[in-house]
Amino acid sequence: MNKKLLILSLLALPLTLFGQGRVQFANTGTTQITTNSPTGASGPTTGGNSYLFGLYIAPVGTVDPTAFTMVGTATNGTVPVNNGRFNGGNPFVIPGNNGEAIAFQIRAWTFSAGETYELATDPLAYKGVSAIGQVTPTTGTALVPALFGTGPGQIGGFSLQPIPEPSTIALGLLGLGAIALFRRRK
Amino acid sequence: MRTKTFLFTAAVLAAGVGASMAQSVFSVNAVGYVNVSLKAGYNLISNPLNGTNNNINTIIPSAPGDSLAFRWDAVAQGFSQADTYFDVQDPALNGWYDGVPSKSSTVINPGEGFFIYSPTATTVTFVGDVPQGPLTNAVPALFSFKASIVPQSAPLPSIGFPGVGDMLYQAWDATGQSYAQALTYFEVPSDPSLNGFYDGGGAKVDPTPAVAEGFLIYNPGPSLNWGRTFSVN
Repeated sequence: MNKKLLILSLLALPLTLFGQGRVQFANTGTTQITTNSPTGASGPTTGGNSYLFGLYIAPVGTVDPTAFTMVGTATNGTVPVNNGRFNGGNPFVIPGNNGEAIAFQIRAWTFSAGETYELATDPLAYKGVSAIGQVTPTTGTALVPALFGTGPGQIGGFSLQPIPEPSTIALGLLGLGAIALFRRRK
Repeated sequence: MRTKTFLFTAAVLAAGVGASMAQSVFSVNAVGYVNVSLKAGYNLISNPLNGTNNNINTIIPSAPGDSLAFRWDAVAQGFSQADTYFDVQDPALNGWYDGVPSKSSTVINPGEGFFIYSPTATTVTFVGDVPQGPLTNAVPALFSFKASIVPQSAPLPSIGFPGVGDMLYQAWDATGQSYAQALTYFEVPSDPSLNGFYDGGGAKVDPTPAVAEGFLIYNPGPSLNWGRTFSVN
């Protein structure tokens, strides 16, 4: 019987490892998303469905932002308790992942500006990105790891900033040029 | 998990008086409460009593902000969308919300194990009736999280748990934040007295979950019924 026990205990391990990789694609009250506008209107994101949050993933160790692929999106909710928060799935199943460790980043932008962070080029849009984290998605009956937090590989909240309009950028460049010219004449 | 149980059998409600006084029918309800200590992190617990309803906002009306409740979908063999407890310092808004988020409609009946994640150690108090009478708790095929329907800590074989060959039992170690070593059920046709759960070293172990403690079961065969009849009398 001991032999059978050994075989069964060896079999038991893979049984808990089947399935697709899952993570908690949601932030928490201590990792809120904020906005920071030039008019001073800052604080947790508000207004239901006004922002999109994208989960971008890449192989572990990736730091090049262009190498990340968006695998899911979420919006902020419509009730006051959800200010500064979003929930894109808890658990969220990562397509094509079977439990391999990944690098990830959350990118957020104004909902009306586009379907992806890259397409959101509307001059009125707010945009922001998180730090790059690392997580090992779990499968089967294993508990689902959180992306946000203070543990190893987890990320904190971040802020969305307005995209400078081209005219603003041009004015800024003109200003810099003027300063440079002034210093040269001096 | 330290669990303290007080059952107030004094709360006896008479109901359903029959057509004649000689044939009066009484319903005896045992009302009580169960305190369940949660460690910071994940805890595998169950609802030990029938509340006025078993909505999560009824059975656990208060929890630390950002607590999460994970139920298991035995059909999909995966965790369902978690509920989150929002503590926004407003009693009207505080509570468990689903992912939308709307106030949660999640119902957790006695007999189901579920994970609750608590950012801090705390104690939750369940209030309600002790389930009585003929009780059936389905043990579906493959993985499921189960618990005793009755708030009673007793060896599973003594309370009718339907073990079958190659079934696996795993408790949750909230201190270590991991599953404990699995126990395997052996059926020995030549000597049924040897039937039971065994640990990896070959020793027979009768799992004895605490009151309100959930556990993981792997059922290699078709769905089973864990039936028992219980009365506080």
